[in-house]
Amino acid sequence: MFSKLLIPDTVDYMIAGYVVITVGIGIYLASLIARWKKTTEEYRRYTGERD
Amino acid sequence: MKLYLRAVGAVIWKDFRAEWRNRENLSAMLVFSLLVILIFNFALELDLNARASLSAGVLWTTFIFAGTIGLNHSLAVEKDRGCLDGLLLAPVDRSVIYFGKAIGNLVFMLIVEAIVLPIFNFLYGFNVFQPGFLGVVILGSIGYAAVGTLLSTMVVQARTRDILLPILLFPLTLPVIIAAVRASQGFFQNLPLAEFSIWVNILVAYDLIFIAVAFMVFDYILED
Amino acid sequence: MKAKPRLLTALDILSFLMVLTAAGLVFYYAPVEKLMGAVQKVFYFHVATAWVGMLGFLVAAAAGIFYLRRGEEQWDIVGVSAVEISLVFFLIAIIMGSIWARPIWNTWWTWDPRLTTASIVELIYAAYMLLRSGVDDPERRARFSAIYALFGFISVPLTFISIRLLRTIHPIVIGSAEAAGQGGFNMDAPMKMAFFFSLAAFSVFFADLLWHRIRLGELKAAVESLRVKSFQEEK
Repeated sequence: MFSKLLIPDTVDYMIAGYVVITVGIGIYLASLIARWKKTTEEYRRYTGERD
Repeated sequence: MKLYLRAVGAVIWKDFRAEWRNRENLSAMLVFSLLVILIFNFALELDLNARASLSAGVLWTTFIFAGTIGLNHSLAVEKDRGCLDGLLLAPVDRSVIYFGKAIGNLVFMLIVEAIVLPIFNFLYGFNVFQPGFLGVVILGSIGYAAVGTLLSTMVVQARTRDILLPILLFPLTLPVIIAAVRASQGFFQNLPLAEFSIWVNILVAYDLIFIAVAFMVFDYILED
Repeated sequence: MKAKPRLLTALDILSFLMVLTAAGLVFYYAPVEKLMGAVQKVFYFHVATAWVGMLGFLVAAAAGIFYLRRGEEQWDIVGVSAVEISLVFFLIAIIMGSIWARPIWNTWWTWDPRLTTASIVELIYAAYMLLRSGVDDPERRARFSAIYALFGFISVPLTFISIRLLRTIHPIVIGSAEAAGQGGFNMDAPMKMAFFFSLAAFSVFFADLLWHRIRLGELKAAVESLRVKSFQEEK
């Protein structure tokens, strides 16, 4: 009990840290997917290829 | 080897002759340096206490900024007047062009520094005429000119060449800047050499490494 | 357009599961560190993202050397892909480190060698991207960025050494907490487990992302050559 009181409460910072990494990687993945779709579309436009 | 050196000499000589005609590069670098020192003087209020710790930084920032102007100009002129193509047609190794331009840039930097340093001495009262300190100035300028010449040869071939050089150059030359400032500070504060000789070692290491790498990759920069 | 390789799908699933497991280990398996509290858990993924950042830097420099030696376009794509991923992960690592530093060192930012070097590497990546966007000719762009990646890779260790010396010769230690914050805590076995598993998970994730990004780069290059071709036909 006593030892638990000594541990500083830094949960907020931990959450903030993990929010940063989740959002950051999320944005990057979204940009990868968006660019992939855009480029695929262009590719089809030039080749007339379906699928 | 002898031919090689003569070719390098010819490139340097060509730069000097061109500069001698209008002196536009040197005078721009010089006036710019003096302005930077002036601006720092007012921006930082370099009173006696602040001087001891700050002036090495002020001095090197001045050299670095002035050096950027010189580097940008030196290669931009070649490109604009079509001289770069002429240089490429010369039947010499590409590294000759690199060393010629780099040494030319280095000498221009050193000339500007030779004029700025006595003024700096006069304004702030630091004794700049110590052989060790002058050695640091030369070592720092060598590293800066070595990397700067290579990058500016790249930059002049880019569309955004007016803004690109400092962005590319500053993060790479940070070790030079840190080491040169610290070593200069050591001399200004009359510390025993043993305390800051490590910075001189870093300068030497940086110079050697980057001259070697620049020598190896310069061919790829002027490939067209 | 090439179909998505099966191996890549497998890698997708593997990296997803590994990162998920790593998160599980970090939150439920590793104990709460007694001096810093819960925020110490940021450490695992902070180091892992920074690791990915350095890995990308290494890959970019190696790809640069390969490009200069062989002149094959694919190495340029590998280089830019690695730098782009590293740019993202290093930024995350720096922000996470800063969040970790706030309660521990009582400041968002210190000019600590690792933090400072990380931000300089980030600036080199940014300069790399600016250089690329400033050169239009693809072949020339590839050569220049290969050289710049190589130069950056060589200068960064020197920068790190310089900043580290700067700090030891002029100690500006912000309280003794800095020592504790600088990995000064002892990792027990579950912590080590979570730590190394996070590193492994993010390495796999990096490989997965890199592969995807390279595929995107190849597709872009294909579209580019198609565009040039159709333009010539119109003429």
